[in-house]
Amino acid sequence: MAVRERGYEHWSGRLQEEGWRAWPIFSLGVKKVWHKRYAKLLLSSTAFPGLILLLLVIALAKPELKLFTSQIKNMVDAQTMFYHYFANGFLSLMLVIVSIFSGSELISGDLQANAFPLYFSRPLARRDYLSAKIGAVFFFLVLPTFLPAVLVLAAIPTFSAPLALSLRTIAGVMVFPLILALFFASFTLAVSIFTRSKRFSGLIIFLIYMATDLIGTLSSALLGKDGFLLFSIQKNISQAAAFVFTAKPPHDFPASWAFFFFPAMTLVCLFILDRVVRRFETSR
Amino acid sequence: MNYLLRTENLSKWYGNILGVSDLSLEIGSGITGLLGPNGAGKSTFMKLAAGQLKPSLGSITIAGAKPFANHEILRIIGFFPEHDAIYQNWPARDFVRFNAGLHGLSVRQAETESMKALALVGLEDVAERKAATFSFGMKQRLRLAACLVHDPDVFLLDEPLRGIDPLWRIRISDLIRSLAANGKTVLISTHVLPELEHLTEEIVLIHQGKVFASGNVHYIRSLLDRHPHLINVISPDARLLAAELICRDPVNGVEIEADGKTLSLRTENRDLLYRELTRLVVEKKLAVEELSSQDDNLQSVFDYLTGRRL
Amino acid sequence: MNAWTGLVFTFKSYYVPIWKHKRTRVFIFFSLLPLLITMLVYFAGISTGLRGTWQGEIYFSNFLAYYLQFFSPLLALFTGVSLLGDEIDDRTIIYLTGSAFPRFSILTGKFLALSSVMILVAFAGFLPAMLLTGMVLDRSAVFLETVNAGGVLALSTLAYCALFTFLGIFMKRAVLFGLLLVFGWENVVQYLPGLTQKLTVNYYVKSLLPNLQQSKGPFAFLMQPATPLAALLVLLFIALIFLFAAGLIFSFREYGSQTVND
Repeated sequence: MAVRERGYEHWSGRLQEEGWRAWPIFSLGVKKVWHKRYAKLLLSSTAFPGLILLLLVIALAKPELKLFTSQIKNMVDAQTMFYHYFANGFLSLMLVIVSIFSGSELISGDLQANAFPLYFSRPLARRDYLSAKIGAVFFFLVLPTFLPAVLVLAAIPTFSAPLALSLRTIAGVMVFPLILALFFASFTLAVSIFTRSKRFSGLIIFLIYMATDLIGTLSSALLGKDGFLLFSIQKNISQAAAFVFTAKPPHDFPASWAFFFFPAMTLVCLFILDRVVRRFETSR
Repeated sequence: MNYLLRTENLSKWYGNILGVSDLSLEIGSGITGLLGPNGAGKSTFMKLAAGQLKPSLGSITIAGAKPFANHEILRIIGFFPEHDAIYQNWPARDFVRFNAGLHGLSVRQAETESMKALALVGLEDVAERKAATFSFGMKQRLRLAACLVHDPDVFLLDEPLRGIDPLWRIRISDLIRSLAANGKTVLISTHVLPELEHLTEEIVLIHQGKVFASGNVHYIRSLLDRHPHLINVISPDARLLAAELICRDPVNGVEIEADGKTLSLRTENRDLLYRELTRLVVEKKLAVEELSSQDDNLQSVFDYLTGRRL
Repeated sequence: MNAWTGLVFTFKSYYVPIWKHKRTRVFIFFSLLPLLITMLVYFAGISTGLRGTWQGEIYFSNFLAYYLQFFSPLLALFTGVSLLGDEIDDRTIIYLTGSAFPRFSILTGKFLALSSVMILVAFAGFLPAMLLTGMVLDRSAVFLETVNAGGVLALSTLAYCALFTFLGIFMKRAVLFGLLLVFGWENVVQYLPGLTQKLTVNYYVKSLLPNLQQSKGPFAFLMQPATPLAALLVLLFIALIFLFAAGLIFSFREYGSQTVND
C-alpha cells in the first residue's frame, strides 16, 4: 500500500520489523525507475558492450562460424578481454547516464516533497534510509554491468572458449563492477542531496564527470605528470581496470591508486550523505 | 441579475477520467459555495473558470469571454488554487508584488497594493521574510493576498480556509463577505459544509463531476441531519444499552457486533438520539468508552441522495 | 495588457532572483575552472614552453572547446529545461498562465532573464580566462580574439537556450535527450559530409571560430565550414525560431492538470 502525500509516493508496504526495515523504500525506488519510459532501452544500451563480448566469446569458441575474425585474433586471455570491457569509455559514460536516470530524483524528490519528516517519524534509522536509496541506484548500475560480465564469465567454460581464466580474473569480474556501482550510486546521491531539482542534480553530476576528465587531462598534459589524471573518473576506471585484470596501465601512475580511489571516494560520499541526512533527521 | 460566470454543458475529462460533466450554471455577484466531496470536480471547475484548463465540451465564459489563455479577461480574475504553490525563496512582499505586476499594476501601484493586501491578511510584519519560513496557514494567507492584490471582479477560491487557525478563519470569512458586499463575484469551493454555512446561503452541490443540486444551504443542512445515520457506541454495557434504546423513538435499528461491546444504532434523527443516549447513560450510570458516527459527513449525504445507502 | 510591458516586467522579476540562486554560484564555479588552470599554467612557469607551439594551439583550442562545446551547451540545457520545468514542479505555473499579459511575452521575458544571466555566468570565467590565456601564450590579437569568441559564446548560448527551451516545453525527458543531442548527435554528425553536419548548432559555432575547427587529424577534411555571415544569421535564426515555437506551444497548452512528478 503506497503512502502518498500530495501525489508523491514515499514507499510501498509496511515497514518490516525484522530484516531490512527499509525494503519498501528500496522496492519503490526500483519500481519507479523501472517503469519510467526509456528505462529498458537505456539499460539495454548499457548492456550492449556485454552482449558484444558474449558474441566474441562465442565466435572464439566456434571459429567455424567465421564471426568477428579480426577482433578475436588478439584475444588470448580472459583478463585482457575483461580489461577492455571495463575500461571502455562508452561503458563509463553509460554508467553516468544510468546513475542520473535512476538516482538524480531519488533524494531530490524527497527534498522537494519535504518527505524527510515522514520517513524519520517512522522507526527508521539513517542507515536504513540511505541503504535503501543507494541500493536502488546500485541495482540499476549492477544490472547492465555485473550481470553481462558474469554471463560472459560463465560462457567461457560453457562454450569451451580457448581463454585462460585465472582466479584473479574471476574475482575481478565479481568484485570490480560492484565497486564501480557503489561508487556511482553514492556519488550520484551525494550530489543530488544538495538540491531539490532533479534536473539540476542530473546536470551537475554530468558536469562533474566531464569537467574532472577535462581538468585531469589538461593538467596532466600541461604539467607532464599523469598523476593529475586521478581527477578524472573515466581515466581512473581504465587505470583501476588495468590493476584488477593485471593489464598494462594506460597511464603513467600507480594503477593501485586508481583502484583505491573508488572505495575512498565512496566513503567520502557516504560520509557526506550521512551528515546531511542527519541534519534532516534531527530537524523534524 | 447580472451573471458574470456562465457555463453551458461544460465538460472536461483527462484521458479516461471525468473531471466535470455537462455543467450548466450561472453565477452572479455575491458569494456562491461550491460544495462536494473529494474528487467531485470542484478544483477542475475552478481551473476551468480561472482559464487554466480548456473545456473538452461546452463552454465557460466570464463577462462574456472565454477565460482559457485569454489574458485580457484574466485581469479581472483572482484565483486561489488548491495546491500550496508559492515561490519559496522569495520574500512575501515580492511574491504579492509579482502577482500584482502580472495582473497589470504599475510598479508604484504594485508596491502600495501589495502592502495593503498583506495587511488585510495579517502578514505585513513578516513581509520581508521568505515564504519558505512560513507555516502552512501563513502560506495560505499569503496566497490569498496574492489573489486579491489586483482587486479583481471575480474571485475563485479553492478551499481558502484549509489550514487556517480559528481566529483567522473568522477574519478571512469577514474579508470574503466584504468582497461580496462590494459587488464582487466570489465562488468558494470546499468539502466542509460548516465553512460555507457562515458565508453564504447559495450553494451548488457537485458530485462525480455533475451539479447534483443547487439552492439554499439550509435545505442541504436538513438533508444532512435527516438522512439515515449509523452511530457506533462502544460500551461494556452494550446489551443493556441496546435493550433500552430499541424502545426509543429515534432508533430505527440496533445491531450488536461480534465483540459484544460495539453497538451500531440506525437513526434518522441523530440529534434526538444523542439526547436520548446521554440521558440514558446518566440515569442508568452506564459506561461508554467511545461514540462515533461513520457518516456524519458530506460523502454520506451524497451516498444517500444517490441511493447507495438505505 | 501590452506584450512588451509583460516581457519587461517578467524579465525584471526573474533577473535578480536568478543571480541570488545557489545554482548560479555553482555554475560560476565551473565557469572559473579554466581560469584557475590557466593561472596554474602561468604560475607553474610552463607558459613559456607553450608559446608559438602546437601544444599551445591545442591548449587554446581545448580552452575554447570547454566553453563553447561543453559548458555553454550544458548551461543552456539547464536553462531551457528548467525555464518552465521548475514552475511546473513547484506548481507556480498557474501564476504565469493566469497572468493578464500574453503568455508569449511572459515566456520571452523569463527566457531573456535566464539566458542573459547564463551568458554572463559564462563570461565571468571566459573573459578573464581568455585574456589571461592569450597573454600567457603570447597571442598577438588577444583582445580581438576575445571579443570575437565572446560574441560567438553569447550567440551560441542564446541559440542553445532557445533550442532547449523548446525541447523542455515539448518533451518530458528533455535533460537526457539534450545530453544525447549535444554529446551524441552533435559529436558524431560533425564528421559526416554534406548537409547532415549543418543540422547542428555546433557546426555554425565552429564556422565562426577557426580555432575550433580541427585543422589537424584524420577528420579535418570532413569539416566544410559555412561563411561567417551565414553562420551568424543561422544562429540568430535558430534562437528566434525555437523561441517562437516554444512561445506558441506555451500559449495554447494546458498546465492545470500537471502534477509534481512528471
